[in-house]
Amino acid sequence: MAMGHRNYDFSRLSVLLVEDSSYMRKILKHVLLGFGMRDIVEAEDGGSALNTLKSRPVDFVVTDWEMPVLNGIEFVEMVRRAPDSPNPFIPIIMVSGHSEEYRIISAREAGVDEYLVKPLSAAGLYSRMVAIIENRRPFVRTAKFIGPCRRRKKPKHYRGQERRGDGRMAGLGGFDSRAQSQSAVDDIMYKG
Amino acid sequence: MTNDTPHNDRDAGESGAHQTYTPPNMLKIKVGDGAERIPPELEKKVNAIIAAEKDGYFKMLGEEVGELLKLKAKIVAGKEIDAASRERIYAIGHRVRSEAGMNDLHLIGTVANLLCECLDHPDGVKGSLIAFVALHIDAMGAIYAGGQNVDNNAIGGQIIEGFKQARAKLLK
Repeated sequence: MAMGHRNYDFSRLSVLLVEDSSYMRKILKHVLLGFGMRDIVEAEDGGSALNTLKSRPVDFVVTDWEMPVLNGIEFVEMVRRAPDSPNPFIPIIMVSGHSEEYRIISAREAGVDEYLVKPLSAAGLYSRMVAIIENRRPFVRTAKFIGPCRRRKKPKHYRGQERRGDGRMAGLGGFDSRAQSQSAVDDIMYKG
Repeated sequence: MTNDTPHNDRDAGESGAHQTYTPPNMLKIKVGDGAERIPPELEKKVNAIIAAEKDGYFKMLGEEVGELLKLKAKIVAGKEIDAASRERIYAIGHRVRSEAGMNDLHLIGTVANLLCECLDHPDGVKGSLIAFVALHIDAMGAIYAGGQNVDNNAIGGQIIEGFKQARAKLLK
């Protein structure tokens, strides 16, 4: 259980960071270093990330969705389901600009543990890391699915803030009425 | 580790035989206890790290907006959105909507989000998709030209007001 007066010691964790944007990779790396992590392995796409995982164990993965060669969803599916996967149970946090309901469901069905909508915030990433540390879901295997149980209550500390948009843009509307705020994304990820 | 305890995952659309595994929680063993919310001093420190990259981001954004404007000129001149241009416009728009907000550039991020949405759902555009896409790219160009503080000054407000009106006409 999380304690209020201590800080996690992230220095012993290793992470595989999968992101094609050099800017986002740099920011994510700096944020994780800021959290105290020291062992950060980087990959620019899902294909090289898979090869990295096979050659080097890490404690968890942070991955983007849109990437060349093998995208984030395909990468997660390979990690969870490929017969030669080095660690089908590894915790995976997806950090993506996609926020539509059907996309969140795709990520959940692929076997993502946690889903964070960009723009990235330090608080948002921290809360997802706490979720995989303190509230890791059990794994379920059925004929069609292997991955974290898709039915669990949303952790109470989730911030769920809307980080996109501006008051002056009100009334513009969009084409996809299902486009989601982070809090709605969390509701989809945590049906309970 | 495997156990045979029934576990209900039916809400996610599955039924029938299933197994539940509880992998050992190596992360918890390694990190110990900590605060469930990010400690304020840590958040401040990490946000300062992100803020330090703002200038570099703005320069990179300029290159991306420049590429969008070239792509716009190409599709307007060719009177069609070929698959490669569409894919590239979407990729840049997606990156901008994902990254701009982190640098307090919410106006351009929001317009980029609307650009991606119209490419995701082109059936929602009643008139010319090319004109609609061009409008969004032009707005992004104007917002970028407004500088790093455009979100907080009158220029930003004027650009968005003009964009809103033009967009409403194209949606009619």
